[in-house]
Order: sequence, then C-alpha cells, then structure tokens
Amino acid sequence: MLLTQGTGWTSGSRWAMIEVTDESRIEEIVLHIIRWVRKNLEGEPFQLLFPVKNRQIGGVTMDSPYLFMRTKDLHDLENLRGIYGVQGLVKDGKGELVTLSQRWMNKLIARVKGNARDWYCGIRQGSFVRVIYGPQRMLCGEVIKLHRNGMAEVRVGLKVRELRLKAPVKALFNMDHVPKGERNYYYNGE
Amino acid sequence: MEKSKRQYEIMSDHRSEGFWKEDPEGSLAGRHLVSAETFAADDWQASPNRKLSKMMFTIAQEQPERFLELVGYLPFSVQDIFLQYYLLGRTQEQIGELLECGQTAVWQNLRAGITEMARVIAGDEVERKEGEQQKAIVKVYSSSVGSFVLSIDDRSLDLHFSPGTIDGAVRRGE
Repeated sequence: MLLTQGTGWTSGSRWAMIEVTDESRIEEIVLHIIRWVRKNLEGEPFQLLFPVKNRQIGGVTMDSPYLFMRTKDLHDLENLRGIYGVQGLVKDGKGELVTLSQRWMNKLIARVKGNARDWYCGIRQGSFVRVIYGPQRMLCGEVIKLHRNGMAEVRVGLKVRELRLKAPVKALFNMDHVPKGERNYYYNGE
Repeated sequence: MEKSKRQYEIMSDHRSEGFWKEDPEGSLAGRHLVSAETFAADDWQASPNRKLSKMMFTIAQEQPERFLELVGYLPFSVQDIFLQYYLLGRTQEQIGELLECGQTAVWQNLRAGITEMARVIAGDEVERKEGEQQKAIVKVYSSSVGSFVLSIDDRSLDLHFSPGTIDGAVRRGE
C-alpha cells in the first residue's frame, strides 16, 4: 500500500527506512505514523510505502521488515522515534541516514503492487474468496457475480443471515484451492 | 484481608492454568479441586473474562473438531459469534455491527455461550441445534477498499486497517 499526501516530488528525492519494534502490530504502527504525519507534516508532500506481501487469516506478512517514507526533508522524520512501535530510522555506522533512490524504490513498489494482484488473481464467478478489507474482513463466501467495473458480489452464508456484499475484487483473496467440502464462511486455513 | 484474597485469586488462577493445560475439558467441568495454599503465588493476573476467553481459544486451537461440536449446542446467533470471534479473529465490535446487536451483547453472549459449553462438558442434558434457520438477506456495499495508492485523507483509509482480537484467529493446522 502506498500512502500519500500532496505532490511536488523532484526526481532526486530519496527515501528513508523505518525500523519497527513489532511486525505483529504493524497495522497499528502505520496508523500511528499517519496520525503523526497529519499533525506534524500538515500540507507537506509525504509518501509511505507499507510493503505487504500477504494478508490472510494469520494477519499481515511484510515483504520487507521496514517501512519506507519520503518527505521534502528526511530529517523531519527523526521525531518518528517517539511513536508507538517505531524503533527509529535506519542509519549507517557513522550515524548517517541510510537513504534509497527513487529508481530502487520503483522496483520495490512494483513488486509490492504485484503481491496485491496475486491475491485476487483468478477470481471468477463461483470462486471461494476471503474478504480482506473493511468491516466484513476475514469472512469467506462465494462470488455470485463479477462486474466489468471491477466490483464483485459475494454471498456470505452465516447461520442466522445471508450477507450479500458488493466490494472491489481487489478487496478479496482467492481461496479456490480450498476443497469444496470445507468451504464455509468461517474457514480459518490459508 | 483484601491483600490475602488477591493473593488467593492469583494462586488459584495459576493453578487453574496448569490444570487447564493438562485437561481443558475437565477444568471447564470443574473436576479439579484447587488448594490455593499449596502453591506459591506468581504474578500472572487476568480478569475472569480474559481467562475464560483464553481457555476457549485453547480448545479451538488444539481440539478444533471438539470446538465445533460444542458450538453446535449454542443458539444459531451465538454460534455465529463464536465462529467469528475464535476462528476468524474478528473483534466484538465488528461482529456486533454485522449482527446488528452491539459489542456489549456480543460480549454477554460469549460469556453465556462458554457457560453453556461447560454444561455440555459436565454431562448436562443440553439440546444440540440441528438443521438451518431461515435467514434474512442483508446487502452491504463497500466501494473504495483495496486500492494500492491511498491518500491519507481518504475516508476509506481506516477500513484498510481493521484490528483483530488480542489472540488473533485460530489458524487451521497450527
């Protein structure tokens, strides 16, 4: 996921790497960083790459142990260290910030974007899927209709009600590998 | 007196945890007597609710078929709560919103459901729920989640960061 604020990047702008204390709470940490940005970098250009490899029943798996951020002045990010879950910015042996070029980051961003495509690749009408974003997160169901605009209608059969969810295909995880006899809304395998 | 009672509870909890690890079903059925004075106090503290929840999570994780069998004795609406909470790691708020009953009702049903399961384990006559209930169809529309690039001012941003329960989901095969 690439989180952004503002525009106006120069071709030479570089990215800093952020080390976190606990990957198992990465989503909370990213939310804390976003709140910090809203408060301390209001109106300034900012980007944060949240490099997710997988989103499944076990939580988020990272493609890299770091988060990647850029602003107009990377030294503005020194104060991130005070945020819950942030260990600090990655520095070299001399205490200088380790920074990455946009060219390098473009490759990483493309890879992370590809990871997301893998989740919903192959989803068709009749597919068994898991919802991975939103209030219906983790529920499983069957795709009953696919629309050309990228939206899918999913039927989730609970015990007391049937949910008809209309959501982007990108918000679903293809679970067609699950045997038909094990497909239910509370399937908890990967 | 208050200090002694707290110490007793701590020792009792510690011993209960030990029995639970050896024999989860027996612990729920109350087959083990606890003599608090025999064991040294430790610093493990948990509210009774948290302890019960951890016990149920252990059953779901280590005896999944037994967990599903026990859930089958609960009313259908409560089954939906247990399946979402323990197997999918959905929070009480998320479940309450889905079932239109509120987080407090979800919590109350979790407690009541565990009590009912304990009765089943203890051998009480409890009717197992069979068949299917007539279902209401609820339509939900979620339009903007799943985008790779998001503005931090996007209204759907929070939907991409839904929390899970403290223990997470019970994962099949673990």
